[in-house]
Amino acid sequence: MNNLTSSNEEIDMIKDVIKDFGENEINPITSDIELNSEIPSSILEKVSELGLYGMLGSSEFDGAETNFSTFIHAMLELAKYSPALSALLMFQNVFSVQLLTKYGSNEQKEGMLNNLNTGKKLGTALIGDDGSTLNIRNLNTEAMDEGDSLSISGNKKFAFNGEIADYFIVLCNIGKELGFVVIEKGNQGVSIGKPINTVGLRGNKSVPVSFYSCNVPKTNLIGLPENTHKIINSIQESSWLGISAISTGVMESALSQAVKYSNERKQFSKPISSFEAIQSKLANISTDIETSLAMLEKVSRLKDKGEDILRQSAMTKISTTEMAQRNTKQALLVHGGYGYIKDYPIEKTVRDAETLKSICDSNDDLRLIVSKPFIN
Amino acid sequence: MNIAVCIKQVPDTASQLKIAEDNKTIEDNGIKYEINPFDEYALEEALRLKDKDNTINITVISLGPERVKQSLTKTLAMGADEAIHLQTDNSINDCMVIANTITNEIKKKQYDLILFGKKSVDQDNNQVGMIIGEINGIPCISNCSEFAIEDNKIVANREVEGSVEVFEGEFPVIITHEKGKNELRYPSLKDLMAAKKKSINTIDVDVNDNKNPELIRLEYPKKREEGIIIGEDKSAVSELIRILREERKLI
Repeated sequence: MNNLTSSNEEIDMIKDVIKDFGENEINPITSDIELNSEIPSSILEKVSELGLYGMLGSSEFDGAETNFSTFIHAMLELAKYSPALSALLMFQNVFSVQLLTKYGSNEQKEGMLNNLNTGKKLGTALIGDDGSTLNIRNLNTEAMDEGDSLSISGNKKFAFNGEIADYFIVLCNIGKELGFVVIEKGNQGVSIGKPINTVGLRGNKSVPVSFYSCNVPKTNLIGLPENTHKIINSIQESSWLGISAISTGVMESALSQAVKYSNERKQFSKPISSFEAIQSKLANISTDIETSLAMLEKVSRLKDKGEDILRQSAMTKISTTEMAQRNTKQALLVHGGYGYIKDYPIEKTVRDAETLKSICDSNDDLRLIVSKPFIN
Repeated sequence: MNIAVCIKQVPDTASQLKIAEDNKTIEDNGIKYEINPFDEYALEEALRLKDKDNTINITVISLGPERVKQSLTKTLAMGADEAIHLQTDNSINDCMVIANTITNEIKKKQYDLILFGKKSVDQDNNQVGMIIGEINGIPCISNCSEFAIEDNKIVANREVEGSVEVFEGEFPVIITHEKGKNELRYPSLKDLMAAKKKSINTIDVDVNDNKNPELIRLEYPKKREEGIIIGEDKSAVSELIRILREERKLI
């Protein structure tokens, strides 16, 4: 199949490696991941060998140091096999590796980045108390100044990768300012709740996390308080594009399932792919995948150039997640009644798309960002 | 110790191949290429030797068009030390021409071990490694399933019907490798990014197929006939035996 979108050698090579990994290692255990809601540690070890934990990390600290466009393509490719694993790695890269690489002090980088880039430790950022990255005005997570240290108390309802994270990078009120503070899992006062039982992306575990008077040195503060909004914006645009990449991978998976089924399933002695109603569905899904790819590639390229892409990344998340929701359902309809049977993986793909639309800020909230310049 | 691993880039085994208009080549458009699987196993064996002894130098050699560089970069990421691209845009089917071209390259260095996959999965000739052995007077152990270096000698196994042949020999030696017993490694993304910066030694080779034998045309294999249901109870057995015996002559 020829795509409208560009390709280059680096992206192609990395996609090929992920494709081999997906076909050989993930495909045989997809149903186990779904059933146990757990990505096996053997897979996570191989992910570490592949260097996927630290794609956005600098090579100085054992990262792969790819650009953002390459990272986006890698997440998309991996999402064809396991959106849950792709999300786990997207959060690791965006919520810890990229954040510390860009804004961490030398001491913080030396202390944490080698382990984060190689997956020996995981990290996640907790921004809004309710799990969103936008609702930060009414933050109830407080850091009390105690001289050389800070004492942090508060509740964060959704910590992506929270069950396996070693570092929580927590947004809190510090007096009248906002700041990110690193709190280690083992720190006294950290309480990690039960994994949230999600509809889709099963295997990717979010948990609620509470902090009760957690005492951390002030050197755990990330960046200067005046940079906090920049850090939040960087996480927002990267995670929205990350979710878009995963959604596009999910659509590609839906299309390949629909194509396979419609060529195998016969009705009136012909494969159902010979009927125009089915062809029309396949064409629509395929067209939306190309639209998603074009948006993703354009906005990722702008990000690599260092441009402000907050609105464009919000648009991309709205568009791609809603296309994924629509197209996975169309792919399910291609399966007819069989689409509703768990023996076929398409019902899982539909649930994954539903979940992607709802996480990393709701699309309704994102529409407010997109429409902002139009409002007096 | 110097090891050469000769690899060929072949269409991805999952690709749907279409015959091009010239009826002699396949349509290149949309085809993904990968390292011939048997060659990957040969490379894996070389890399495992290097894992144990870091003084081993691995050179990967490949003949083909520009796109071959991508496969060579992958081998550098997996741990090969050097990559040599014998560049030609000509499609060569004659194994003797291929073997002579590779010979010119491997003569430039003292290789102790020269590894090949037993055959390429696109053309299935199963010849190049053995011809290079003949041309250069280097012994060749073909279709090897596993090998080891013991007391500066090569010990190699070949699985044959019902038994395993065990060979022992001096260096230099050529091995053509079967699907190996060891799991293939994935190159890490960090190594892939670093490999991009390593240089591939490109040598333009002026070679032409001598067209003897000449590839006349490509044809699609015959489509499998649709199966027939003879019956659904015991009475079908005698009819099945009759068809197998009289019509298909299989029993």
